Order: sequence, then structure tokens, then C-alpha cells
Amino acid sequence: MHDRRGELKAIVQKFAADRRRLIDILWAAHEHRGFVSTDDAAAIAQELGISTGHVAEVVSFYHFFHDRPVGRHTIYLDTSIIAEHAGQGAVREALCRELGVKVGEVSADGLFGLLETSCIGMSDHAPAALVDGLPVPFLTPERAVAMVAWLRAGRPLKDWLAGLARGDGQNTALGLPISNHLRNVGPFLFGPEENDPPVVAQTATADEIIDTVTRSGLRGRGGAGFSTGKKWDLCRKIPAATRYVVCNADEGEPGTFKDRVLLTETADLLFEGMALAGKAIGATEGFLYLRAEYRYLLEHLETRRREFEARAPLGPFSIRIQLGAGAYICGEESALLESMEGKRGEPRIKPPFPVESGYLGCPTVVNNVETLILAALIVRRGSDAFRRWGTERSPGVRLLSVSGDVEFPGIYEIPWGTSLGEVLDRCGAREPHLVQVGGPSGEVVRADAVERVFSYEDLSTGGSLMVFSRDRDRFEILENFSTFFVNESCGNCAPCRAGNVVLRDLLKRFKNGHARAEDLPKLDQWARIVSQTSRCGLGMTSPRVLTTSRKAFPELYADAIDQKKSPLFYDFDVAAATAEYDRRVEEPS
Amino acid sequence: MTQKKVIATTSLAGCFGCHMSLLDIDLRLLDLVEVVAFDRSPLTDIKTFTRRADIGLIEGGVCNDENVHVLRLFREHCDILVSMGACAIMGGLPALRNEIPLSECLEEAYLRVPTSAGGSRIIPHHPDLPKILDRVYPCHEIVKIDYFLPGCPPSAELIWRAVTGLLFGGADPIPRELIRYD
Ligand SMILES: Cc1cc2nc3c(=O)[nH]c(=O)nc-3n(C[C@H](O)[C@H](O)[C@H](O)COP(=O)(O)O)c2cc1C
Ligand code: SF4
Ligand code: SF4
Repeated sequence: MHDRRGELKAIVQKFAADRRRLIDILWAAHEHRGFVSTDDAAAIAQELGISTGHVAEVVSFYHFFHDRPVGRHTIYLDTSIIAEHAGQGAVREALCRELGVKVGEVSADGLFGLLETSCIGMSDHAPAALVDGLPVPFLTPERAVAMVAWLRAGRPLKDWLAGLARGDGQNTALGLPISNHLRNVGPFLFGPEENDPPVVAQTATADEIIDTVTRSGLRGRGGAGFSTGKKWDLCRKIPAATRYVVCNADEGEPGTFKDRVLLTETADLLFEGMALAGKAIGATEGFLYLRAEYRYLLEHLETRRREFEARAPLGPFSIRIQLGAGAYICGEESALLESMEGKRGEPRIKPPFPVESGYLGCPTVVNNVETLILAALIVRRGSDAFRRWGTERSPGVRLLSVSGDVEFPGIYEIPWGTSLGEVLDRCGAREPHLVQVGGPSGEVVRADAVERVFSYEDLSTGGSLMVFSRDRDRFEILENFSTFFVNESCGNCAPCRAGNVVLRDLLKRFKNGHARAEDLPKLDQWARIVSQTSRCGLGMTSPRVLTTSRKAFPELYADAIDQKKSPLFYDFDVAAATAEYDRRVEEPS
Repeated sequence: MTQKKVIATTSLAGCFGCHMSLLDIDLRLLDLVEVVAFDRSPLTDIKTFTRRADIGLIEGGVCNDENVHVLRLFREHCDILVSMGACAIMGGLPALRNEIPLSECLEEAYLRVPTSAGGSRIIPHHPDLPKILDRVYPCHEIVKIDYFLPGCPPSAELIWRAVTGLLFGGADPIPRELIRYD
């Protein structure tokens, strides 16, 4: 029998028995066996000198960690609404039938586990799944069954994926049939790099860097839109011996995939941006927190990272890539830092903000992938080159990840100030009706509000743009978003943990035609409770699914209430609720 | 003398603990019956409504089709409906079965237990027996509930204050410490 205990001991030793590396340790432990049993957790805890409970609570927190077997091959179906609309339902059914399981179960031969997970950043390849860590795009029932047959025959998944390459002339690097779908390149980010002046950053001082970035008006692209120059300046002014730079590549907002593309196309620029931030704040160490869904990029990123560190264009700056383990909330900067320290990704109470007390309590700058890349280009080209684009109050460009009912899903680089109508035209929207700007935590917008513009003053967005045509059931879309928050709430505070369930259930009443007039004020009350009393941005923004859709489509809710129905008696189908009983008692056993 | 107010009570999927708690108002029960009449209630053993009630107190959640029927009758015959106790509010203890498929529950209860007579293969069912629902529902998913009294059971004091307050008004606000969730 093989020595699991010794194996775990070796893993822990490999990470110098450092409890802050628990996520890496758990990944390594999963590598060998696919899960971490209670005994494994106890063994790891003992080697690290921490409690078994601590290890167990971390295992239970992340989607991709398991305390029981989940099959030799693990299939995670993407449950985003984009995937569902693209036919994930039929794929799910086919796999359940083929494997003889329900979602969440392992096939009898132990070969396959069929699971689900939130958006995997493949909305331009919908419906997609993660299989053994690799993205499998454009699934159909037939394709899924063929993949299962291939794996059953013991052949490597990578070979099967290579056979899928779509040959559309775009990037199929990394040997995967994943295209970058760059639909609109330029004017700034995906501009002609060869025209760039030699890297001025080599000689620029910290003051100059911060000055240029501040004057460019660059604001964070992770969602909150905080001034990047100001963030760096705040951080460097906190007295401390050590500071850190962290790049947030957790990209969990359903519908976005721009960071995936940036990581594939422009990793060098990203590392340059990180080193630049380091130079600006006085840090020599940086971390790239990579969402586990993008694990397939790890090898590529490690290669680029080694090259960058060897080149060291801005002087010595070391970077470690930290893999996440599946949790949308780890995109929230303080949850991300907790995760980096080997804990559950539960947001910290702010203040203090990371610039003051971040990784290991040291001042830390956390920036989005796009932010850091733009910063690198701004320092190369000067702040005016950036300000040439966009508007006075929203300078520069930003990337949109467009998906849904459009001819051309993919990445669009637009100057701020571009109108919704123009973007819908360009991506070939098919009879658009509802547009989700900025993902579920963003805003529901009517597609006929074509005059609205992408800018910090109007449609300020984290970059996700999901387009839905007229024939889509709007409540189905909204319920999918609401369920996303139920699944991704870290559970720390009650208003978010329980309130999102209440909101989702209320929405279901509308969707299923059970709503009564009193449900409307109830919706408003719960939306207020959840948004105003939650600890972090997840809970604060989750009710926006309801509030913004009510504003955009007031008639949607009003029409869903059947005024003829009694306000005292709710719809309850006794026959449906007793069907299982009838079936069971009549069955001869 | 003005007409007496009318109260009705019932226990659905409950343990009667809430009704016991109601009786714990002790001597005040005597004051209460001066001004209140109990209609349909296990306390009076009146099985059908004889008149309209001002308040209906519901103990227990909804676990079978008869519960649904009774709850709907209460809604029809009472001006104000109150969910009394954890079970009525959220299913309570009986709702622990909601995580387990109904057929498994039935098999465990009737077929696999050591006391099942001589390897019986029969799950009791008869047209006169209520049918078990797929899961236990809180009352407010079936009908509109106007007030909720948390607790398992809610204390006699809480029930007293709530009922007299609702019937006669003018009651002091209920102090926080009386509202308990255990
Ligand atoms: C629930 C939640 C999820 C988030 N997810 C991400 C994410 O995936 N990527 C990201 O860059 N920022 C995300 N953020 C924002 C970060 O907390 C943080 O503001 C950002 O990384 C700062 O970088 P920036 O200034 O460059 O935008 C998220 C915030 C919240 C509240
Ligand atoms: S708001 Fe939600 S995600 Fe944020 S800390 Fe509270 S429970 Fe966790
Ligand atoms: S709430 Fe408690 S006391 Fe009341 S019926 Fe339920 S279990 Fe019994």
C-alpha cells in the first residue's frame, strides 16, 4: 500500500511547512489522489502545527477542493446563464445519462465525477466545461459523450482537445482549442507595441511613475474604479519595511474573460506593470493571484515569468504565481489576501484597506490585470497618449468581454465614452432586449437605451457585457444571477448568506407566476437590508440584479402579478407535492 | 357586555409544545376566557369552525395534505393568522427530513426499523390517511401569515402579550429579550 502519510509529509516539506502555503499544499495533495480525506487533513494539520479544523474549513471553502472522491476525471459544467442559453442543459442531460449519475455524483466505476461551477471565463466558448483542469469549449451532447468515450479508453484529454482546434486563424496556442476572439483591437491597449519608445520606466523614478500614472487618470479596472496613481501613492506613504504588489487575476464576474485573454497575449506587459508598481511603492516582491479556472495558463505564465525575471528590465523584482481554488469572493481584494495567507477567502473588515495593511499585514497594492497592463503602457508612452482617448472624466480605453446573443462574442477595446448602441452594432447583437453591464453585480440595462455611454459617470463597468435577445425569459436570466450570489456568498455575514436566498426565492415567485402585490415592497425591503448591512462588496451589490431590473423593466414585475389571485392563498400544488408519496406506496417492494 | 373575541388554534406538524406554552399563562387563562372564546381548537376539542375567529394560532409546519387543508380553512375563517413557534415559521425539527428524499424516509421509518412486523414490505397508506408531502413547508408558503412568534416554543409571556395586543390593542411593545429563537 502506498504511503499517503509520507507523501503528505513530503508535500508539506516542499512548502517548508509554511501554513500560509496551505492552498498550494492542498493542491499538491489533490494532485495525487483527487481529494483530501479527513485523515489527510489531520495529517497535513499535524505537519503544519495547526488544527485539523483549520485545514478542513479551508478544504470545504473552495469549489475545487474536496473531502471525498470526485472521480478520476472531474467534469465541472459552467452554470452561467450564457452557458445555459447555449445548450448546457442538453449537455448536462447527456452526461447524466452516459455516466449514470446525477449532478454532484461519481459514476459507479469511480472514473467520472460530474459537478457544476460558476462561470469559468469561457462565455465566448459557451457552453464550456472544465475537465481535469482544462477548458473544453463549445460542448454539445455528442461532443461530451465522445469525450467521455475517449477518456474511458485511457487516452489523454489534451490529445482529444488538440483534435478540436477550430482553425479560425486565431490563437490556439497552448495546444488548446481556445481562441482569444480579439474583435476590436486598438486604439491603445492592443495597439502597435513596436512603436513604443524604449522602456522609459528603466530610468523613471518612483515619483515620476506615480506622477505619470496619476496624470493619465487611470482608474482601476477590477470594478471599484479607484485612481491607480493615488492607490500607489497612498501605499508608499505608509511607513513599513516591506510592501507587496498583488495582481488580481481572479476574474470571477460572470461574463468576463478579458483577463484570460490578457494573460494569454500580454503576460510580459503585465509583469512589467507589476514591477513598475513595485518600483513606485518600494516593493521587490509581487504575487499574481490566478483563478483556478485558468490553471491551464499556469505553465505558459511560469515560462513568461521566468523570462521576465531573468530580463529584469526594471531591476530585481520577483513574482510568485498563487493559484486560487475556485471562489468568486476571492476576487474581493481582502478575501484574496486571506486566501494567499492560506485561509478561507472571507473578506476582512475595512478599514484598514490593503494599502495600509495587506498581505501579512504589510502595505499592499492590489490591482486588476488590465489596470497593471495599462499602467505599463502609460509609463512607456506618457499620460497624454492615454488621455487622447476617452472623455475628460473617463480618460483612456477599456476592454469589454462581450457574450450572449451576438454574432461576434469576444474582446472589444473601446475608448470610454463609446455608446451602448455602437457596441451592440459592432458585436452583431441579435434583437437585443436586455443587456447586463458589468456582470450580475453590475446593472440591468434596456437594449434600447442606446444613447447610454460606457464611462465612470454612466455605464461604469468591470468589463462584462452580456447581451440577451427578445425571446429570452428575463426572469430566468435574473434567477441565474441571483443563484450565483447564493452559491458564492462566503457565508460570513447573515444579511448576505440568508438574504440572497430570500431574494432568489422572491424572484422565483415572480418567475413562476406565484407573486402577489405584497411581494414588490418585500423585494425592496430585502434589497435594502442586504445591500446596506452586508460586510463586503458581494452582498452590497448582489441586490442590484433586482433593483436595476425593476428600474429598467418595471412592467416585467407588474405583469407577473396576477391581480385576480387571492392575496391570502398562495399557489400550492398538493398533487405535485404528494406525487412521490403516491408513487412509493404503490410500488411493490 | 361587548361580544367576546374569538380565538382558534391548531397543531399541524408540531409537538404540541407551543400549545403547552400557551397554557403556561396559568391563572391569566381565567382572565382570558372572560373576554375571549376559543372556537376550533384542540383545547376545546371543537373540530370545525362554528363562527369566524379574530385570531388563528398555528403551531407546526405543513407535512401532509391534511395540514394544507386545515391551514387553508384557518385562513378562510380567521381575520389574523399567526405562525406560532419555530415549526410553523420554518418547518422546525420535522423539516430536518427535507434533505432526504421522501422514499428513503418512508423506507427507513416503516421497512428498515427493527420493530417492523415480520419483515413487512408495506408502507401504510389508506384513503383515510393523510398523504405525506415531498417535504415539510413553512406555513407562509401555503397561505399569507400576518404575524410570526419565534421560539421553540415561544414563551407564555410572548404569546400572552402578542395575542392580547392583537385583540385589544394598546399593549406595550414587546421587549426584545422576550423574542427568542430557541
Ligand atoms: C465580490 C467581489 C469580487 C471581485 N472580483 C474581482 C476580480 O475578479 N478581479 C478584480 O480585479 N477585482 C475584483 N474585485 C475588486 C477588488 O476588490 C479590487 O477592488 C480590485 O482588484 C482593485 O484593483 P483595481 O484598482 O485595479 O481595479 C472584486 C470585488 C468584489 C467585492
Ligand atoms: S457580504 Fe457576503 S461575501 Fe461579503 S463577507 Fe458577507 S457573507 Fe461574505
Ligand atoms: S416550535 Fe418547538 S414547541 Fe412548537 S411545535 Fe415546534 S418543536 Fe414543538
